[in-house]
Amino acid sequence: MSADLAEPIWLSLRLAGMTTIILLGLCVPLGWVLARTNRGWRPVAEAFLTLPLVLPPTVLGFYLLLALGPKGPFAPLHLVFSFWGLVVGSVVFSLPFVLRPIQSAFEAIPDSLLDSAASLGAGPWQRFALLAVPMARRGILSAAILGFAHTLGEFGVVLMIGGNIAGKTRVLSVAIFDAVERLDYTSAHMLSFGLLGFSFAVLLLLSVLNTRRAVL
Amino acid sequence: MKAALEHSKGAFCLRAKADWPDQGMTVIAGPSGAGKTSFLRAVLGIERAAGHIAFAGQTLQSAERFVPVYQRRMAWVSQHNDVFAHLSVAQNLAFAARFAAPGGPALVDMAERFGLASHLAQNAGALSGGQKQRLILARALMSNPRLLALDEPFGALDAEARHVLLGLLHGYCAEQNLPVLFVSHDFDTLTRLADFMLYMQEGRVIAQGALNACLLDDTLPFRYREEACVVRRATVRGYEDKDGLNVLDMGGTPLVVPGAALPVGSAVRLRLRGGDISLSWTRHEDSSVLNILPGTIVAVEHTNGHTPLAPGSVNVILALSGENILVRITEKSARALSLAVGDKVYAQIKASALVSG
Repeated sequence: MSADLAEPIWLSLRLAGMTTIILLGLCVPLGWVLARTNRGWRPVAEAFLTLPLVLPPTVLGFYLLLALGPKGPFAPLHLVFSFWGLVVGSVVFSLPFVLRPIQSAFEAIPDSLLDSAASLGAGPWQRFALLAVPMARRGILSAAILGFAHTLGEFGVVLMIGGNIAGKTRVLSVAIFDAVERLDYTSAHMLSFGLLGFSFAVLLLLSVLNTRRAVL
Repeated sequence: MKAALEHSKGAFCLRAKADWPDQGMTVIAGPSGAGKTSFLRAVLGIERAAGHIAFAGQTLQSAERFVPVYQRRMAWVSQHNDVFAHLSVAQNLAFAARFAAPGGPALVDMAERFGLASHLAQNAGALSGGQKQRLILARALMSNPRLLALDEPFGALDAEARHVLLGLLHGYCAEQNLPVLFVSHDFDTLTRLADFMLYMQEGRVIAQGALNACLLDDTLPFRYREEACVVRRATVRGYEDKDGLNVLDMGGTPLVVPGAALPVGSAVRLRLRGGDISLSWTRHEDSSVLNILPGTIVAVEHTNGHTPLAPGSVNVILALSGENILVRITEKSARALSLAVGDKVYAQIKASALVSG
């Protein structure tokens, strides 16, 4: 495989990895709070955090571009057309895919179990760290895999805030688009088929994880 | 322990006020939907109710103060088999020990006591229902609590397994002087364990008192039940090998109970069922009944429109060695004997009717 093709693949993997790590750090506490609260703001927060699931990526990208751009509030960070800008965009874009499975896993833990633990002397932080997270580990793993795969496949947000800079923001999906525009179908095929195979493998892995519960 | 709590959840409204001993076993009884579990959860601080709670000289909750569940040291055993399924049996017990105040029980001893010693390395999720119940009870005790709170303890178990576990529980708590507050609407369980009762109805505590006072209270349902009884304490004095009888002392009155020898000097509970006691004017030496005790009639309660007593039945309350017992006879016998308050009669208690537990 030529360096031209290897570069976007490597970039995509780095982006997806970084995004997944950040999302896990964000969504594990967030999912816990959402799963354990019945306050009035919960539906509002849930609806807001699910927006990236239904909005066209271009809409997200557009607003992110405005926010990160030279006139936006985050202009001093110089994130537009940079790798870290892509990371920010991907985090927003993939958030519901990571949050949902984690929140569901936390919701599946019975209240009485956590209350029992509290009555034994376990404080809120200890219940979270020693019981909730280990008990939700399968959901967290699923969320990480899903978030990683989803980030690999994103296109609209990336194009809007990253553009198409080789080695910096030209990720897999953009490289495919690029190749097709150049009528370089061979490269487009190699990348597309690779992504297809990878995505299938990931979904297969998820399915196996969800059916063979005893594995973990 | 004192609690005055108010809490409303949907259509249900808890307005309970109670004061009960800081030691021994206290049952929260009452019909389903009375708010027994809500009250227990509010006492523990799991449910945040408004009001006041004081325990062992310490205010746990007041207008200014709310000690959270995890600082109350009141271990809760819920109705659900809440084992930590991702941990082993030993890790479940160690989890509780981790937060325990110094001087708590040793893990190995506790496992031994509750028959979990051979399962320590096993995953807690893989235990049987009975083993899970033993584990959550042992785990609660591992936290070295100041109060043990049980919600419908071991309701899912068959009678045999439940009796064994209740025996273990009773033994441990008596030995450690650990107070217990438990919810039960199972008559067998509450008469086996309780010393004191809080009776709830529609979110309120409508009666509270020593177990026997409540079992005999004519405003509560217990004395009208078919299996109405009182619970008396006795001390084991000896054993008659030839006949296989334990000789007991119940408030100065000797009694015999068949069965395996109980340790001399130990305290036992006797459940005296009203239907297992008969009355006579004279001491029948020719009867098969071994325990014939003199008593004085305190009250005779006939069936009428006002009592939920079954037709044809009569409740006779008898003072016997310093405390009242209940005797259930038929209307016909009561008429034939023409029993009246103040009469001195003999109560014939079937030896086999004495249950220690």
